[in-house]
Amino acid sequence: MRRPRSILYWTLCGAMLQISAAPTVAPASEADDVADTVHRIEITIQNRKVVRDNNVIRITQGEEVELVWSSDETANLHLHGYDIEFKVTPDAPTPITFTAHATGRFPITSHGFGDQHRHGHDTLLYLEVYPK
Amino acid sequence: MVDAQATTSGKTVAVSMGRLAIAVLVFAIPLTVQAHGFAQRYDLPVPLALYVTGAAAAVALSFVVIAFFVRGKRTVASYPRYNLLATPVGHLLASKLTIALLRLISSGLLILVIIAGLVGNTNPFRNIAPTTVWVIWWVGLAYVSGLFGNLWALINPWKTIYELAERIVKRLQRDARPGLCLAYPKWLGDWPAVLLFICFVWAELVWPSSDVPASLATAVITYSLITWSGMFIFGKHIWLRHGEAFSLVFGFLARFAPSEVRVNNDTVCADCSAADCRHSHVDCVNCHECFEKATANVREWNLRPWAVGLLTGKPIKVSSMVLVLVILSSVTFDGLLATPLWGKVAQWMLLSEDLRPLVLLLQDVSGNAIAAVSTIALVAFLVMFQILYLLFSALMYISTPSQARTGVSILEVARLFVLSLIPISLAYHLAHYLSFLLIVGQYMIPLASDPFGMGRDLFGTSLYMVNIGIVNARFVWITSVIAIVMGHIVAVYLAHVMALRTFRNSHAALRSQIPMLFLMVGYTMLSLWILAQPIVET
Repeated sequence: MRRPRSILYWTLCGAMLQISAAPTVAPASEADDVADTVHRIEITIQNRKVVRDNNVIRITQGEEVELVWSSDETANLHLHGYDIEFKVTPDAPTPITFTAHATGRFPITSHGFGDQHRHGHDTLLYLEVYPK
Repeated sequence: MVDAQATTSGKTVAVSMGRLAIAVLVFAIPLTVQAHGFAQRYDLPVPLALYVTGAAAAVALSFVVIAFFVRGKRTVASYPRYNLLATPVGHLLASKLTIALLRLISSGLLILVIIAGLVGNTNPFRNIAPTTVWVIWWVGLAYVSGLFGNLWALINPWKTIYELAERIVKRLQRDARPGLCLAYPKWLGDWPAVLLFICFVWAELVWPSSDVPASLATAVITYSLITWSGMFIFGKHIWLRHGEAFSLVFGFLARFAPSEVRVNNDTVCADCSAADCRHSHVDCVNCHECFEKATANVREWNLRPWAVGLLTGKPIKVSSMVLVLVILSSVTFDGLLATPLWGKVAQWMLLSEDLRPLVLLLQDVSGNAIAAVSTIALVAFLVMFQILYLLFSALMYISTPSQARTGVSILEVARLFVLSLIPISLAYHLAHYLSFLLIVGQYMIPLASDPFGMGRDLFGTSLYMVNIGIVNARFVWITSVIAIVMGHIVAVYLAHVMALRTFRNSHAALRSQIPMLFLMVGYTMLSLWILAQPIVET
């Protein structure tokens, strides 16, 4: 009695894979159309910590995201998964823009503050990209 | 990671320095937790609505299964089979050439892992060793074992290389004996495999150097030497049956799989090293020793319904039971290590005065304070899981009417029903590692072109960028929840079938299953809860 159910299950899985695979490709082409609706988020770093109520930023898949960083100290930051490395300075806010094409929970870590270059991973906050 | 190896000279100094190291670790540096030896996971927590739906479905469907059995429907011991060797495709897949090729690839990978680990790039993502071991071999092969069949028994590189050595020795000395062939003591059971597998689990989940190529290669060499020594001392098949941890582990997972090898001839099994290779079946099923010896006309490679391999008529050995419970609990522990709850527990353990001497002792051995508390937590969790299972077995025993359970002890109940938990564990494994396998597995593409991380480009794929968008979170969520609920239902079903075969009447069988049902619902809830937790890992 289990065999038909299992076949049905895998058929469903196959169908879901196709459904879910489709939107992951789409946003790149849509990016131009929605470029004027940028999801802008301002983040402030003080005393090597992010000034926020929680340490999670939630966005939706396909959005154009602009993270604007203000910091009281120079720091090298790394958005994992999307693999974006950037430097923030106290002189002026640093904007980081990208299209949130992939879903997931991605840590943003500091690879050292000031002049020090550590390969330690201190998570400042998480970027959560939810499916549409 | 924080290096807390400050305890070197003088005992009092060592203790105070160790305390200092721990204090620094707790207060000044954010707690970093690394689960599953290698690479990062980007899983989103399963949304609450889906989590609740999954849990409700598990409970509701359990009652559907029970209702099915209440009507007194008995299931027969045999099951439909379809011999693949009779088809041209099956014949081709099982041909000597295909098998030799698979064995060559697998042995080649073992050698590649060792060489790359020793001489290759020290960056874990630029060296083929960590990805091959942790992602392709361990996670990938567990999937294959559970969903398709016992591929490991066919391609085990330690067996292949040992057989090759045997052949060479035989050619040089015609009368050479294959190893020492000492009698394997019966009391040893599967304990060597249990011990080795616990060491492996520790290396996978706790060991800070698990992703350091050179350390990993050393561990692989150590395990290879242990395996070949075991084969040499007790005989190849004996060691594969009792001591080679992965033959046992993948073998247990493959009992769920929809394929089996079978020998339908008595004389082949007469001198099999396992006395009980034909125990519950008319034929010899999944005994690879007999299958190798058998002539083509008595061999079968069958398709069969899922999970029927778990329906043993006879209680399994105590050591096998412990191994099955370690398989289950270690995957769950891996999940727990990534939850915020573990962060809190670890913090508490680091600050606890009572645990401090143990933590200080272990941090020297395991590398750092986090590894030390993880080691304690791992051992505690494995032990707790065993106790909990025995407790539920006792409850199962008690809730069965006494006249229906004559000749059965609590331990026998435990040894009989433990296999019914395998589908839940397999489902959780599937859910937990799905995106990990699909995302981190992609590292094999660039690594294939540059396995040692020395800037080569053999196949022109060395610049491949890993696509983190290959699986959508919604697909992962739905597949995970469906897998866990299905695993749960299969487990409930199997346990009922086993109960019907063990206890005298269907009423007694049904009563015996009430505690088991609570255990399974609880386990399913725990698995779903872990999936609903944000993965905290840096």
